[in-house]
Amino acid sequence: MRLSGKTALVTGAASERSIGWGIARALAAEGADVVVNDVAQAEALAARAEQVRAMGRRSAAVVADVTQPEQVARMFHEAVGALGRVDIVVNNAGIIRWEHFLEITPVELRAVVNVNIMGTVHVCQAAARQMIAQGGGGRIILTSSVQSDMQFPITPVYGATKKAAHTLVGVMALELAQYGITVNHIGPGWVQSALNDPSPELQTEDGIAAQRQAVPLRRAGEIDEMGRAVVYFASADGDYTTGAFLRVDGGLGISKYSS
Amino acid sequence: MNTHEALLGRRCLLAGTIDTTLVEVGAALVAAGAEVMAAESPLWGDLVTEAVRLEADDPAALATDLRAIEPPDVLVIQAGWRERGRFLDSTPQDWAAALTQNFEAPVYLSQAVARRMIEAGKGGRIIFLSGVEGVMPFEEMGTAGTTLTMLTAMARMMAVDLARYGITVNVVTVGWMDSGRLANFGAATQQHILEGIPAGQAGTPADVGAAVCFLASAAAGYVTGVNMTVDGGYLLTRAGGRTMFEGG
Repeated sequence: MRLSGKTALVTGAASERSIGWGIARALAAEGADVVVNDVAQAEALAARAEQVRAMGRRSAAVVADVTQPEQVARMFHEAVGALGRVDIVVNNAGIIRWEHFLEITPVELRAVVNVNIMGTVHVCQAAARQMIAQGGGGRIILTSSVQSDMQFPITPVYGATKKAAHTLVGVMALELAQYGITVNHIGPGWVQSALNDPSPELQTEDGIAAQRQAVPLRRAGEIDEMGRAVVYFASADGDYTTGAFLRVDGGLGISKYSS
Repeated sequence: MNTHEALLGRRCLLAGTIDTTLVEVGAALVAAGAEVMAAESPLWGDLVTEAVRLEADDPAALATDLRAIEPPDVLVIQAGWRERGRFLDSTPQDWAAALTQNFEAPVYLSQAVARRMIEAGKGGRIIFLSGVEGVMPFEEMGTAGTTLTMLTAMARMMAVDLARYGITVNVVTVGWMDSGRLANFGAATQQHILEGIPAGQAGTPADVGAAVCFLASAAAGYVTGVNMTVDGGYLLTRAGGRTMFEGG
């Protein structure tokens, strides 16, 4: 096991069909103790923590809104209280809205920017401060998207926030390297997660077939596959990797058409 | 290329951060025959033919403001928030200002102007002025860079959605200019920065004006969704130092 004795915090992990849970489960499978977070769904979140404990790891469930700095501070306080320290922080919480450019409204734009940008800023600042206070070292990993490379017109605000992860991860990697902290991000493509359920492209069998056809590997990604990519960055295997982006998308990001 | 009168009679709305660069862009557009509309500022001199009121953070008010003028043919927005600071020191206030100036306001204004262009049925040109921080990460420029990257991504998707209306959307990424911020640094830092520019010298606002004139002209009708860097090659390589601002 590659993460024995390590402790982790994963945001956005309440749903059993979330990438966050796939990440938490993969970290626990490699031996890490894992605190799970989400903004609501306290009961589901508690169930995820129980599943982690059933794997023989320590866990805790912390409900907190990542858009609120004081709640993020409390989340880290509770995570450190439960596990003693935090070696790995996975900033995974994110939201998506489907609208074309001309349909963007301030309310929806700000909702996406608040979680995907400001939530990331608050969590990563708190993570880095905690890691520095622990004496340095640590792993910060973001869940971004294939849209970090190529944005889709039906999700322009979401795509903008995900492309921005390249810059934000890069700057954090540059500035936090002196503390031994690495910062990287993974780029899921089509994952059959709760987040993607409302996608207009996935409401019919034809739509799902077209989606499958767009992916060179001809299938959706599994949440655990996202988790195992995070494990690479979190483990000693990723010691020399910082500021990197790893698409885990079955090739979606390199295909204009796939047939 | 003879650009004289390439934009004869084109109505250009210039918005965002008004500085030497944007004023020179206006001058280049006027030299090519265009009319310039902009919010009032003493920096414009006599370039502006029509003063415009723009309440940039409120789409409804913006739509009303734009009703007061004939629809523009060309929209140029300079996303101008560029404060320096380390990521760990950045405050929610910094981020709010950067997000507003570099992303949210440009999105709402271009959306409102695009609607006017679509109504007028004559196509149009939307051009954002961004910075090198939005293309690659630089220490101490995380807040500016992240928000500029958001705008460049949005511009690409705008280009997709507005292409059917004959509206092109492009970004001009501006490198170090011989005006403005470069002059704020000491001689050693200026030299370090200049050594990182393959062209060996800073650009001029006129270089930016020429790029904007091309993208605004009929010659660029099939160019959309690009990010044109006007930086003397700055982003292609790096100098020996750690930061953009070695030596502060």
